[in-house]
Amino acid sequence: MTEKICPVCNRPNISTAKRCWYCQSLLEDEQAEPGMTAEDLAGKEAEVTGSNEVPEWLARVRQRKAIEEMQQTRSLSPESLPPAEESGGQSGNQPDNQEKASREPEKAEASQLPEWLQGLGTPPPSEGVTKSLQMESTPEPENFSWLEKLKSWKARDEEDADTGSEQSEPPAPQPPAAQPTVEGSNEEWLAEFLTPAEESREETPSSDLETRVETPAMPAEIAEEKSLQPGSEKGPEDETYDFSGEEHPPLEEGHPVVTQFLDAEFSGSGSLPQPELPSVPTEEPSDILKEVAPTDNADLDWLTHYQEPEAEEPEEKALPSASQAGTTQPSAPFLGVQPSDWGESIPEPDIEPDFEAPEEEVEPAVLPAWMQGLRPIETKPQPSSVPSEETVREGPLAGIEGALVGANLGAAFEKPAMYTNKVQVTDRQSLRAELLQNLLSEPGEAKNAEEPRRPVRGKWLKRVMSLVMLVIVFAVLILAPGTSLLPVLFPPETANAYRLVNELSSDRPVLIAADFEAGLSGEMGFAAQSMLEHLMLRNIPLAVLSTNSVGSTLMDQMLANSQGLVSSYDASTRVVNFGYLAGASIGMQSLTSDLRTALPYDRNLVQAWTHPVVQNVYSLVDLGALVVVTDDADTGRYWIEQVQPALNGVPLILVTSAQAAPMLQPYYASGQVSAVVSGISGGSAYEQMMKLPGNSSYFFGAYQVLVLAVAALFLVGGLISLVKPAERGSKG
Amino acid sequence: MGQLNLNVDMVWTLVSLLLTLCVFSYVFGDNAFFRFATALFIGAAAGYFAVVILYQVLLPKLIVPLIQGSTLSLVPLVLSGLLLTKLSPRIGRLGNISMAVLVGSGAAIAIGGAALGTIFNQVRATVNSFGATSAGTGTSILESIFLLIGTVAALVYFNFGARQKQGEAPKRSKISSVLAGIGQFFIAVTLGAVFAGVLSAGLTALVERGDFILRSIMSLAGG
Repeated sequence: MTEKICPVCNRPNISTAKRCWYCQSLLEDEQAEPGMTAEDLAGKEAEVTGSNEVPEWLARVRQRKAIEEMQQTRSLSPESLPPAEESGGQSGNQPDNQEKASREPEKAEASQLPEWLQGLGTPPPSEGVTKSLQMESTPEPENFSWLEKLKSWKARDEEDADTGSEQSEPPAPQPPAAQPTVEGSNEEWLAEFLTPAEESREETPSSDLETRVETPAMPAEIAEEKSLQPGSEKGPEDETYDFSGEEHPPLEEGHPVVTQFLDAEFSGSGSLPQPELPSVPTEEPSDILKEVAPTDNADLDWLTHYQEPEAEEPEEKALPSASQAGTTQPSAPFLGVQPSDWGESIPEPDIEPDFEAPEEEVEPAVLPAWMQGLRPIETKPQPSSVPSEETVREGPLAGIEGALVGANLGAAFEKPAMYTNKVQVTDRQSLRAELLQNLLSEPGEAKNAEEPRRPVRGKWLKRVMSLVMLVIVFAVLILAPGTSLLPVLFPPETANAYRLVNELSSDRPVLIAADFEAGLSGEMGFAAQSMLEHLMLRNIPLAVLSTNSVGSTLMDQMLANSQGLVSSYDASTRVVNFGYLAGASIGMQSLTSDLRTALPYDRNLVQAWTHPVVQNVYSLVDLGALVVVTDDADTGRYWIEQVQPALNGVPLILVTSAQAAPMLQPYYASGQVSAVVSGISGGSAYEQMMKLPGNSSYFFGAYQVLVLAVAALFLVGGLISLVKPAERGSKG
Repeated sequence: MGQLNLNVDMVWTLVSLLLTLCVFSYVFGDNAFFRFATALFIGAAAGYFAVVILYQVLLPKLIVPLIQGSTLSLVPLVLSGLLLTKLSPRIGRLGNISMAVLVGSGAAIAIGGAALGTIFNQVRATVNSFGATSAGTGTSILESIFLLIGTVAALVYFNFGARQKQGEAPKRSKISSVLAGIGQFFIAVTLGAVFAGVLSAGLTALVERGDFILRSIMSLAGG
């Protein structure tokens, strides 16, 4: 069995095949004349081109062209000529007839093409193709104003071409790439554009586009500019969709669909996507159109390289080239088009599955390498020839070309006003603030500021007076110890104390509250020592407590000193020390409510009320007397206020310091206090009433001398202050 | 044993003498000896106070009752615990309860004592002084009048209310001014008496300390 070699794809087919199983092309016996082989066709093509050095792919393309020409020639036979009515009533017009005749083979060829291929070029196309075309064109009819202009421009161009063809015999076919590519869903105008495209395919080696596609090195400028043509309205996403190769059955090289697609793309009037177009930076449509128009010449320069044989024909010289048409057409369809939003309104992949319809019968295959090379995904963005005007020069996008120009927000906002943290005040306010600061400042600071150093005279005066006092004390104690002038009259409050102690019963204990500090223990000893001796002499049991921490301890010392003078008194059996009573006035108040609860234990944490001295005492009333030994007037007042009302006739005797006596004297006058013994004078008086020598009388002489000395110092100081008044600003 | 006690007494006497001299050194101004003595006294007093509080307050009045099963002692225990929260600024507000108890009870006792123990009794005593004069002598009458005038005048002095005439500064009435002046005199006498008592107490302490210094020096020198 002999095989038929496909003249297009050179692949073997069975002998009975009329079309190539691979590319669906007509085999030799169907295309060429009987007895003419592919080699003959190639040789004929070589004669036409006058060059045998063309590459193999070009030869193959031209071979196919020759086959098509032969088919055209065969279709131009009188039998195949259409009636005159079908030619528009121009039977007498030879160029028109030729033109009509040139279209007839296409129709014949189209009739031989598969249905899906016919649908691509003739209206009404199949639904899938229509949708694909819609995808590639502007979907909204109202945005087709530029397309209308394009059609009018196309029609005028055709008229010019016709006029030129009439002037130059014989009429030549239109140059293929001179027509701006327009795609769209409008079937009528699509048919108008597809027809001349197919016409141009007769003269233009459509396979040149294949070779161009196969040629990997397409000039970047051309690819970019072609992407800016109206036919490439769809964005990179659409291109990616069309050539993704995953959603559609793969198309092999030489497939009619591919061929038609490539022809259309090459001729510039194709409606299929253009694969090699790199992604174009987003720009304003008007800018893009303005840049496309003057660069059409460059777009076609590389194509004319393959059209040299046809360019030598005289009838083609008469026709304006595509580039010339582009440059000489001031009314280019895109120049007057207002920028529209067609680019934004292109529907996105929702039309993706519609493109599968024409390829249902195509055997799925691997996408060829050359087709993969066309995939926009893998295309590398070429350096843009757009002038650097669109390059962002500042901001975070500095150096990036084609960036969208955003709203100039910087100009809409002003720099915020700067506020300093420095308070702006007037002079008057600052003066007042300074005055307030001086008022609030520490007095010591102001004093130090005004008096940087203490006067030397005052310092030495204080030292001299202190030494004088010490010398007097030591002189009296050394020179005349015990020498004193004792008072003859006794204070009545002290005499009452002596009387009360004498009247106390020996079976009722006397509660002694020792509330004095250690610093005044000497004076308190002078005042209380004689009374304590008196109590011991009367063998009166004693109970001691204190509302400060050291009072009971100091009282123990006093009792020990008194016991040394009264040896008959057994302090171990006659004295109970309750120790510290916490709470001050609250503790005193607790004594009045429940004495045994307030004082549960003695100082040694022993049950105090089991002691024989106080075992019969249940309240303050059971006491013989309450003796408060204090150096503080307030403490004495607390005892008077809190405890005295609860005594119910039990004598309250105050043994106080000389400094507290004046403040407690009214309570004696009011009768709240039964007796008062205050200071060294009161102790000395008590000793005199007892007729026992004691420390108070012994030191009373020294005390008197010191009082006289102080009085003398006061007198001298007063006289000096009278003679020499104090300096201004100083106190006394 | 007696020799040992003597030596211990001499040591304590020596220590007391040195500390007394340190305090007297303040005559020559503030110095390290004086500050050392005062710091020592304050520290010893604080330590002693802590021991007294522990052994004579907490132990007999809180711990022992708790051990004995007194549930009432839980109240002071809780209040004491809340009072300790005052040490922390974050939870110090919990101690306000204890402080409220202390301040409230203290104020109530102080006010009650002042009213019942001082004001009423002093007023009654003043009135009774006139009642006593009916059976007393003329001197007692003069003393009672003098006491009444002094008391009223001192109270008037502390009355700072006055009428303000237009265009003039606030001014007391003539009667009020006279009584305030008399009261100022009585107040000055009272403060003089207090100052005399303070001076007397200081001089007494000076005499006692002077005697201690002499005795200590004599004992150390003789001993």
